Amino acid sequence: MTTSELHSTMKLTYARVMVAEWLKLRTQRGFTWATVTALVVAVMVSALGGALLRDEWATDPAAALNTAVSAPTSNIGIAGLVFGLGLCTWLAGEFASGSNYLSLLAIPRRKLLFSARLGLVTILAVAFGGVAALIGFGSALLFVGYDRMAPVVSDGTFWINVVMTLVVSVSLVLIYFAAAILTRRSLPAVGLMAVLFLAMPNVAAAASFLDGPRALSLILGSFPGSLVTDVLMGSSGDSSATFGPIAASVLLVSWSVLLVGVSARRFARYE
Amino acid sequence: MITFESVSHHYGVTPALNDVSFTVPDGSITGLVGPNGSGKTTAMKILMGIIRPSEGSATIDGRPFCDALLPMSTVGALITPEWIPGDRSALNVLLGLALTHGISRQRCRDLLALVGLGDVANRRIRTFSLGMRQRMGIAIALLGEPTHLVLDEPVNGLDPEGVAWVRRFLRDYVNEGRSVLLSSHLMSELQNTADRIVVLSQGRVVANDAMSSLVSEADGSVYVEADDIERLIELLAMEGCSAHTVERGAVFSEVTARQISAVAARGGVLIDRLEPRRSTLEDVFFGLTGEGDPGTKKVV
Repeated sequence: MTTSELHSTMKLTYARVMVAEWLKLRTQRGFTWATVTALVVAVMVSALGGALLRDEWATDPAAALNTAVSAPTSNIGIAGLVFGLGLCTWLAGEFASGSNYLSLLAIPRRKLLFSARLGLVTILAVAFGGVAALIGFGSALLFVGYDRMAPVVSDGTFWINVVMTLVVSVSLVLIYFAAAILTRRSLPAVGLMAVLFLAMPNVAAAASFLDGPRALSLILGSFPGSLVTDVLMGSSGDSSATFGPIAASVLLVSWSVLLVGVSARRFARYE
Repeated sequence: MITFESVSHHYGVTPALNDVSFTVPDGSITGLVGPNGSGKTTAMKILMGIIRPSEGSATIDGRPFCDALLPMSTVGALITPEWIPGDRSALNVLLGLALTHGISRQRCRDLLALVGLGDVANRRIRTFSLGMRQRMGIAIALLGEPTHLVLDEPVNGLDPEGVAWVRRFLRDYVNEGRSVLLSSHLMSELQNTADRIVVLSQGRVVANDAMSSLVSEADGSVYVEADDIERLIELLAMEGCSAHTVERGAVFSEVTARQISAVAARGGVLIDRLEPRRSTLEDVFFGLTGEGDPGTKKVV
């Protein structure tokens, strides 16, 4: 192939960058391990939930119905956490090893590279959330049977919960994505996630336990970890959460939009 | 054509480049030399849009690299092989970059074969030697058949056969009207390869000329071995000649071989060896940057 023939076939597009990033991601060992681990966790949680569901149906059908509704959503949330960790490790590794610069030599337009990675991560988060939901739902079907699950599926609340939890799961993965870009290293990114998703909910719980002012509880309860809990509690019918499931979902999406926006700015200006 | 126009950059308060201006004409190999920390790699990173200059601009065919429509066919760069991810195979790394521009898998395989890595295409980069990583870096730079090449120390770690291959390849490359900006610490290699030289020292351009002009300007020194070299140095110092000692003799500048033999004859010094030196790029470099060969001592 001559130089002019080669150049005539070349074109730098959003879709091509996304495909290239997918190739890089799927050949990373860390990502493969995170995906496999997340799937194993999803299957285990589903199996456990299904077994509990079968016993519960014999003693308390009303409570069992709630459990059946929340089976896929719990799975999406848990799998999202593990999957997000894998993505975060990959992205932070790109910065730590310097191979991000290699990408920039081929794709010097920062906005293009950033948006392609963001698009890929979003698609993967939705796909993975869908698979996790299917595993959860499939498990419930397996243990309880189609006849008992049919009324659950025909109930609109079930589907609203599934969609809402999927949105939450994607938001969670995007917050991981932003944390990796903002910190540029795996450990600080995981540390930031631990603060947002583990430390702050515990502080919020402590403040609530000590009967602090309502405003303080609201502020502390607005951190991503507490919001995820609120959505999962709300979808399983628990009304003791700080925010209702829809309000919590909206707040969580706002967090992800804010952090992704800040990370995009950082990537465009300083990388 | 690659153009640096009044480029300045500083890391915090530490200046890295200071008002650097030079061009890399099409159809030529331009060598960028300078001591460690003189700003060579910073200049290349600025050109490739990896870092933004504090002032000035670096452009390729009139526009910044970040605005190139087809970056990989515009410039191919090897800045450091450390950027190549070690946990992926050679073919996978190339393919990951090739896919962004729609370059075929076959082209990746052909390039790996061209740089001598065809047999290890599926091996992870971390198992490669430094020389193999350099070859990999060159393959990456060539992926889009670019009009310009920017190579930072490309022969570092290569065996003699690899060095000769790079030299021949670059010459053929620029003969097609393309340009190469090349940095190297191996002065003799650069002298054999480059058409033009830009010398950087402490972030400033201290020389920017054709290789032939720079090297001929430094002619006029003579290497001498004698039975009493110290006495000969003293005698020639009285004539206003400067000298520095090297292993078994001394190098005198601003003097001809005939003058040295006349002074030696008058002073009764027996000369064992008298050799007018052909100047090298290394001499020019040391003269311009003020860097000294640790093995020599300037006596006058």
